[in-house]
Amino acid sequence: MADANRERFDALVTPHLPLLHRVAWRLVRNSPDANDLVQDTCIAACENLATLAAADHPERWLLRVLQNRFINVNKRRGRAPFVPIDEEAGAAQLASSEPGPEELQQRRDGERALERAFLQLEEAQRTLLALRAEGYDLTEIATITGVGKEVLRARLHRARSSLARHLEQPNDATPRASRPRSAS
Amino acid sequence: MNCQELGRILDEQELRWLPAAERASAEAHLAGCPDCARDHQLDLRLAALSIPPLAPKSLAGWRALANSKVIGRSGRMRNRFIIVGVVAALAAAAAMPGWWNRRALEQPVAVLQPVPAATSVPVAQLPEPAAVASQPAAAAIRKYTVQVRLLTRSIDNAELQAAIDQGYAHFINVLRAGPQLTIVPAEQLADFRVTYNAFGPTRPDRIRPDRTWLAFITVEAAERDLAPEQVAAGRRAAASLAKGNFWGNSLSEALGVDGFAVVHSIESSSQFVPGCLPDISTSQPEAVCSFIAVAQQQAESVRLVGLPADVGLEHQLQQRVGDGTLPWQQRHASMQLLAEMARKKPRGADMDQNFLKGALDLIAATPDASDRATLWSMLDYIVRDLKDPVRLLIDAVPREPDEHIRLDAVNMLAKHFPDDPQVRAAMREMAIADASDLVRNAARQAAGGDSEVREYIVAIVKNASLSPTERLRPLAVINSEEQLKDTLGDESVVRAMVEILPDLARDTSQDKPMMMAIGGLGYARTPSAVDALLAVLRAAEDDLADSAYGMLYKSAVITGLSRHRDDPRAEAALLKIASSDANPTARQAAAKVLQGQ
Repeated sequence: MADANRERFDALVTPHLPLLHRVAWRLVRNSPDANDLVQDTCIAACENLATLAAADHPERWLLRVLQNRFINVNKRRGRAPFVPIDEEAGAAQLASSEPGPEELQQRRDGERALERAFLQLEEAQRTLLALRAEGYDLTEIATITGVGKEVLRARLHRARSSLARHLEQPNDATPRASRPRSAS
Repeated sequence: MNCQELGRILDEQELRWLPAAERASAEAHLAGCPDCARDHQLDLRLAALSIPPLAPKSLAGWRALANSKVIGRSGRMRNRFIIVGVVAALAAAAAMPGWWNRRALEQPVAVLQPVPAATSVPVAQLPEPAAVASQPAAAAIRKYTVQVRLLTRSIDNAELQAAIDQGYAHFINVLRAGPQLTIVPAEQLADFRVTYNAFGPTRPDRIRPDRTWLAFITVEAAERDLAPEQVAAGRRAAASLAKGNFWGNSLSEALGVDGFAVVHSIESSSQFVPGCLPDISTSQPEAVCSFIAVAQQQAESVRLVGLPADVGLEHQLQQRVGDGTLPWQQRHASMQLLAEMARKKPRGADMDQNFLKGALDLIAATPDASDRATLWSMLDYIVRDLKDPVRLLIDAVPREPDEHIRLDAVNMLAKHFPDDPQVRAAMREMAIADASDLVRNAARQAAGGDSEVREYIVAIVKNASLSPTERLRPLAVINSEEQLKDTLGDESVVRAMVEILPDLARDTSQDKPMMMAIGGLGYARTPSAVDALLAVLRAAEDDLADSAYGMLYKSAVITGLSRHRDDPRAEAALLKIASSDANPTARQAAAKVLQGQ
C-alpha cells in the first residue's frame, strides 16, 4: 500500500515539486515557510491521491491547494511572515568570499526592498503576482484561484499599484495585518 | 496604443507574440508612459527575484510523506521537519592561528530531517568489529575563556519560561564541562562569546504559529584570533543577522560591533506543549519530550563545532552512535553532530573501535531508504580522514539493499580509498557479483577499469534496441566531470544523444541523467553536441512547456550553449531565447550569456 502510494505520489506530485517550491518561495520569501507550505500541500495531496489522479491538471490542483493553504495560514497568523536570513540563499551568499560585503549588501538591498514591499500586500495579491512571475497568464490563474479573469485583472492592477506605493514609501513598514483590514 | 490596451497585453504576457510593428508601438508606449513602464518593470523585477534551488533533502522528505504512516491518522502530521543545527559556520582553515586552527571554511547548511517511516527493524546483522586503525590523538589545546549570556525576550508564559530556564541551565552545565573551558562574566575579555536567545509565545510576530518557542544561539570568536578573511566573513554574517531579518532586532546590539566574529550558529524551535517542549526534529518526539534533551544537543553542537577540539565529547558521541540500547533518534542525532563536526574540521579524536560498527549497525537497523541514504552521507564525512578503510565498512557496502545508496557507497569508497588494495579487491568482487548493473560498473570503475566502463557505457548508449531510459541509465555510474567529458567526446555517443534526449525529456523521473547529459554536452567538442542541445531545447519548449522540468532543462541548455558560442546555431538559439522566450528567467539567463556575464 505504501509502495502504491509512493508510486502515485511520484507520478502525480513529484514532477511538480520544483514548481511548488518556487511558487511557495515567491509567496513567503523564506525557506522555512516555503518548505512548510509545500509540505502541507504534499500532505493534502497524499490524503487526496484519488482526487488528484482524476484532476485534468494536477499542477493546477496542487497550486490551488498551496494557494489556499497560504491564505489560511496567514489569516490565522494575522501578520505578514517574517523574513529570516535564508539558510539556502541568503546565508550562503553572505558566507561567500565573493563578492565583497558592501557590493553584496547593495545588491541584496534592492531585492530586500522589493521583498518587503511584496510582503506588505494582501495574500490574494501576492498569489496573483507570484503566479504571474512564474509565467502563468490570467486564464490559467483564473482556473487555479477560482476567481474570474476580469476580477483578476482589476486585482492585478491594484496589486501593482500597492506594490509601487510600498516601494516608494519604505518607511511604511507596518505589517499589513497589524493595520485595520480594508473592507475588500 | 493606450494604457488599457497595453495593460491587457501585459496581463496576458503577450508582448512577445505581437507583430513587430505592434510590439514597437507597445514599447513606444512603455517608453513614454511612466505608469505602464513602472508596472512592466515591477513584473520583471518580481520575476527576477532570487529563489534558492530546491534542496534534495527537502525533495526526499516530501516524497517520504507518501509512505508515512502518520498521515491519515489523528490529524495531519505537520511541520515535522525542522531546521536544526547550523545556520552559518564561517571559520576558515589554513590561516587560523593557535589551537583551533583546523576548521574548514564551509558553506552554511540547513539540515532538514527526514521522517523515518517505521520503527527500527534490523536489516542485516553485522559481524563483530575488527581492530580499527587508531588516529593520532588531537593536539593539546590551551585554556580558553567563554562569555555566556542569556537573552530571554518576551517569554511571559511562566511554564515556558521555567522550561527554557531549566534547559538553559543544562546548556550551561554541558558547556561548562568542555575541556580547558572557563566561563567568564560578560564584561570580562574572552576568547569566545556564546549568545543564547530564547523567544516565547508572547511574541507571535517572531514565532511561526506551529513553532511556539525558538532558541537561536551564536558562537563568536575574538577577532584577534582570526585571520582577516574570517573576520570579514564573520562580520558579513553578523551584518546579515542584524539587518532586516527575523533575529535582527535582538542581535544587532550584540553582534559584530566589539571585536567578535560569528563562527557558528544554531536554531532550534518547536511547539510548546504544557509540561513538554518536544524536539520535533525527529520522528520520535516522545523520546525527547524535554527541553533538557534539546539543550544537550545545542550545547554539544557549540562544543563540537564552535569551540576548540573536544575529544572527550567526540568519544561520547561515537559511543552513543554505537549504543544499541539508545533510541534510534538519539543515535541518529549523535551521528549528525559528528558529521557536522567532520564537515567543518578534521577529526580531533581517535575513532572509537566500536564507532564504525555502531554507525553501520545504525544504518542496517534503519528501514527507510531515505534515512539510510542520509546516514551514509553522514558517514561519508566521518570516514574521509580514515587512513584505513576498515574491513567493516567495505563489507557493509554490498549489504546495503537499496541500489542507489549502494552506488553512492561504492563511489564513497572509491573517492576516499582509491588505492587501497582491500577496497579494490572488494570492488572487483562487486563488479562481478552485484545484482545491479549500475553498481557492477561503478565497482568495476572503482577497481581501476575506467576504459572498460567507458566502453560499456558507449555500447549501451548506442544500442538503439533499448529504450531511451535504458540507454541513458549507465551515465549514473560516471562520477567525475572528466569521465563525462571523456565519454561524450565520442561523436557517435553524442549523435545517439540527439535521438535519446528528446524522448527521455518527457520522462521527468529521469531528470538526473538528463541533467548530467545536458551538462556534459556543454563540454563535448564534437559536431553533434549543439544538435543534441537544440533537440533538448525543442523538447523543453514543445513537450514540457507547462512543466518545471521544461525550465530546468532549458536553463541547463542555455549554460551548455554558452560553451558553444563559436557555433552560429548556438548563438542564434540564445538570441531567440533572450528576445522572445515566454519565461523571463530564461530571457535574462540567455541575455546574460550574450552579454558575456
